[in-house]
Amino acid sequence: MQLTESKPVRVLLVEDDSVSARLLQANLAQVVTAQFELQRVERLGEALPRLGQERFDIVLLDLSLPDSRGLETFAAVHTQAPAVPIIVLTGIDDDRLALEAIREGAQDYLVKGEADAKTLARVMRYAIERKRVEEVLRESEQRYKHLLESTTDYIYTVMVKDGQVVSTAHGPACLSVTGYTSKEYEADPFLWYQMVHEEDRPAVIAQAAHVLAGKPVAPLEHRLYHKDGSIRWVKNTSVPRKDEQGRVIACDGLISDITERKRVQEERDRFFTLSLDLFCISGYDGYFKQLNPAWEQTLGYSQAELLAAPYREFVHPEDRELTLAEGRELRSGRVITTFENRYRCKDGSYKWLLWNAVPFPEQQLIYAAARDITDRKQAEAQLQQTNADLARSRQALLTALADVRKSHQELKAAQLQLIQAEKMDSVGTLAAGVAHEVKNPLQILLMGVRYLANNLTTQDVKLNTILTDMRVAVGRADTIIRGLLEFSSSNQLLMKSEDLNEAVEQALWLINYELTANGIRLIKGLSPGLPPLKLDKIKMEQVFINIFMNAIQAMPRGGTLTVKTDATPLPQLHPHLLERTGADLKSGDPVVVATIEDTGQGIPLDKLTKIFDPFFTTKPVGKGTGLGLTVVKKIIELHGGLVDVRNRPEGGVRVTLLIKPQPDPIP
Amino acid sequence: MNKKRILIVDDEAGFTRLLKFNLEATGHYVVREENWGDRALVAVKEFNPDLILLDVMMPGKDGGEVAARLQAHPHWRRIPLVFLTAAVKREEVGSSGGRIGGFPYLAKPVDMEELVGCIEKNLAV
Repeated sequence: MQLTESKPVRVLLVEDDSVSARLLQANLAQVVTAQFELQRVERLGEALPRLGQERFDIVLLDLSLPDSRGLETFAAVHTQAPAVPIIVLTGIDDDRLALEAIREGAQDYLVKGEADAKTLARVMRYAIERKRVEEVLRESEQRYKHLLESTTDYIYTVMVKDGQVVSTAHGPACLSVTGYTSKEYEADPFLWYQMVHEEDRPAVIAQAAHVLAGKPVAPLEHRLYHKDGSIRWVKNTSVPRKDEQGRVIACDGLISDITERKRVQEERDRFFTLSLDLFCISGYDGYFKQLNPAWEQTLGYSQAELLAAPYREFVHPEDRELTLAEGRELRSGRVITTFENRYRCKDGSYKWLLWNAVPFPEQQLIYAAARDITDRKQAEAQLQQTNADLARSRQALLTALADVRKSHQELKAAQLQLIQAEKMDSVGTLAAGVAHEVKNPLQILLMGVRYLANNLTTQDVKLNTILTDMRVAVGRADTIIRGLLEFSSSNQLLMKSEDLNEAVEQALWLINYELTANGIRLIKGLSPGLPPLKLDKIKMEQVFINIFMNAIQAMPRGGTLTVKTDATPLPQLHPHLLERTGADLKSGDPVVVATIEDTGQGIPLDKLTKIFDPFFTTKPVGKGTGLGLTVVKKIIELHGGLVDVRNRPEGGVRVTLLIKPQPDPIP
Repeated sequence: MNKKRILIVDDEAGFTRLLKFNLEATGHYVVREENWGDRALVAVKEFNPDLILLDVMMPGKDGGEVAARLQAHPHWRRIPLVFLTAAVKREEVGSSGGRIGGFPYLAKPVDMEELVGCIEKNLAV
């Protein structure tokens, strides 16, 4: 505030005495160097609100007011407007009060009625100017104080004489760190020690002893009690100061408040300690530097054991090479994620660890986190095992299924055979009954026809033809009946050791007429010296006759009938053939083979599967009973043999009979 | 020329009648028919046949029993006997000239030529 400014100086006059007030106002009016704008109130109760609402450059304050007296008046105003200079107005004999007011912060005092205009102006100007300087100073002090309060470091010196602490000097910032002022430390040479946390006192004493012994020491981190009772963490760096003789005369130190850092670190450590995962810091030298408790819990070693050996010592020998390779990668600056290896536990077992690691080349450190995935690995292995088991079970099931299918097919084949056999037996039983019942009527018909033929009185040709046809018809019916009887009686065999060739020759002799009559050439290739077979010779003749008759009837316009016999090892047969017949034959068994071939029209493919069925025939009506091959098959199978009928590629049919020579039973 | 006396015992009346007609039509035979096995022996006694044609399967006394009774008789056992059968026996299948219980037999249905041949052959024995 410059009084030379054109702006008027705003003055609040607090004065209940109107005479004094007027006088003062008159004096101010005479001042030429400045303009004053005077506002007057008579009571403190009026002054305080005005000061709260308006800006005044100065207050002229009478301490004796109707509602307040003495220093209280000053204190009230000063508190209300601390930045506004106050000049106290006093009576003539009131110097003591005025001085007290000045001690409390008033800028000056004026004895009422003594100050002339000049004095008044000067006092006021000085008051305003002094207050301004004071404010600047106060502000700067405030800033300084703020700085001090926010400073977290301070230096100290402990003076020593003959090994005893004699005094301490603490830098002003000790206030913010410890709550105590430098003065308080000065007053109490042991305060620095008393404020140290009980638990940390031995370490502090030890550090101090080292320093006092003249040795350099590492910085010590410890706790201390702030004056307000809170605990602070500090880092205490201390060095000895020596005199020219090398005696320690003091130690100089720096205290840094590391409470915040510790808090953050503790927070981190809390997680570090709590974590179920394994955290570690390891050096580029291959040793662990720091480990969290999860390591001890997971592997069973103590921290000391783990820190004592290079970490590769704990790695499974099979994983060591890979682990070292990963270590090299890390040292080359690469971050490793999802690396897996096995660590040995104290009990000798191994745990699978999954790793994330990041290198810090400046510190030559690797920060890593690992997770115990042993359970997962085991589960995986178990899963794989289960999968393999399942695959095996499935294979077994498939095999079983195939077996079941095969047995099912075998059963079906067996069932077919049984049905076939049963059918045959029924046919046999039926045939016996039918034969008896039909033969007598046939006999009567035959006799009747004969009688009529003998007693024909007319020469009617037609009647003769009719009677002949009837006789032939009876003959046909008789043939069928005979066939049935043959079939039904074919279950019983009269086995003797026979030469198959003889049965062939006998059958050929019996059908010789048919061959000649049909103009059929016979090619005969019977191997001499066949091993004797257990045969029912008459049945076997029947077999050949039936086959020959089929062949002959297949060649109505002539052809060639080829008959061969041979002794040979059984060739490889289609297994189906064996399965269907159930014949006890194996590939390589010595067998006697008879083949009968014709050059006829062959068997239509769709009929080939039915040729052994009873009453199935491809022959014209009256030519076949439909029992020929049925009887053949039955007889051959009763001999433990096989019959195979198929069309020859070059035309005609080939029938193959296989019979196994039976060793003579032991007499 | 003496006509040969033929006894035919068969439960098939139609057959015995026709056989009688046919045989007698040849002019060489006198035929007595009998349709009841139990009556066979009486017929033999009354008719005194030169040859007996005997059906095997008959109600009452069957052919086998009749043959046995005849065999047991000092005179009748010499009467030639030919079985006629529609019954199923292995021996009668396939080839002719087989025998039943030592007797010749003919399988029904039998042709006249075969039958007459057989009668003549056995009368000659």
